[in-house]
Amino acid sequence: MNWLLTALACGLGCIAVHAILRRVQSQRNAVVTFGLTALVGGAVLLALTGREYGWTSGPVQGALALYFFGCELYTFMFTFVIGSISAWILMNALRPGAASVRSESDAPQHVGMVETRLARLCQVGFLGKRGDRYFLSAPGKIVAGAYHLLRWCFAHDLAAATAGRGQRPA
Amino acid sequence: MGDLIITMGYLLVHFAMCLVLARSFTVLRTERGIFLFHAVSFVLTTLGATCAIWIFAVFPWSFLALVIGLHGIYSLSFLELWSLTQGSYSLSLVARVGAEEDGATLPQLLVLSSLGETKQATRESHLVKLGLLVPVAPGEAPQLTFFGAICARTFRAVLLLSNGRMLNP
Repeated sequence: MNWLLTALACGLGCIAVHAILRRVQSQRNAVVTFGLTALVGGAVLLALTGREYGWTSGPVQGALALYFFGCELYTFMFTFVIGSISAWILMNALRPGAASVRSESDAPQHVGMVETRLARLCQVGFLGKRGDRYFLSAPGKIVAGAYHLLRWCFAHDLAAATAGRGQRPA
Repeated sequence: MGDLIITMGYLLVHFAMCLVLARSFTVLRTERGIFLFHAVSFVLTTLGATCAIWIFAVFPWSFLALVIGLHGIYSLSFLELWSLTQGSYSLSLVARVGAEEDGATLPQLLVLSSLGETKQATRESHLVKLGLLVPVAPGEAPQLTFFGAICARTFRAVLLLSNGRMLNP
C-alpha cells in the first residue's frame, strides 16, 4: 500500500506548494498555478511509484487516478468558494451581525457582482473593452461556442423550453 | 491494462447514457436528477469493485483506487460543466456579449444583475432545504445550523489556504 501513501503525500505536498506560490505570486491565475503544480506532483508520483511497481502496473494507475481526482476536487473547492453564491451566503453568515442576503441594499450588490465578473473576464482574456463596449476576444469566442454546444448536449435549452421560460438570460 | 479498459469502457457507456437519456427524461435535466444519476453510479461501481476484489479476488486492491479515481474525475468534470452551462453568472455574461453584434455596454449587461438576485434567493432556500441555514424571516440576519457552520468554516479555510479573493461582494 506504499503507492496509496505516496499518492496522499504528493497530493498534500501539491496543496502546500500551491499555498506558498499563491502568496509569492498572487497575481497569477490560481487555477493555472495549481494545474502546473499538480502536473509536477503527478510526474513525481509517477517516478516514485513507477520505479517500484513498474510503469504501467495497476498500483501506478490507481495512485495516479486517485491523485488527480484529489487535485480536481481541491480545484473545484477553491473555485467554488471564490465564485459560488451559496458559499458566499454561508461564509457571510459566519460574520457577527451579518446582514440578510435579501436586504434592501441588494440592488447595488448585484450591480457590483456584474462589474466584478466583467473585470475578471477581461483580466483572464475572454472579454476585451473598446471605449464603453465589451466584446469577445478569440478565446472568448471559443468559450461562448463551447457554452452553446454543451447547453445543447446537456439539454439545458430543452429544459428551459419545457419550463416555458425560454433560454436563461444569456 | 485490463482494469483500465474495463473502467474506461463503463464510463464511456455512462456518459453516452447521460446525453441520450437527458433528451428523453425530464428528471435528468434537473440538478438533483443528474447528481443522483452520477452518485448512484459512483456508489454502485465502488461496491461492485470492492466485491470483485474482496469476495471473488478477481482484481488487486489498486483496481478500487482506479475505479474511485477515474469515476470521480469523470463525474466531477461532468457535473461542473453541467452546472456551469446551466447557470454560471460569468458564462451568461460571455454569451450575452457574444449575442450583441457591436459588443455590449455596461447598462445592457446590468440587466443580468437580476440573475444574481434570483440566484441568491433560490440558493438561500436551497441551503435551508439542505439543513445548512436556519429559516428566518426576510430581512433578518441569516443563521447557520451546526453542519452549515462546519461547511462555512471549511470554505473559509480553503479560501485562506488558496489565498483567494471572493467574486461576490
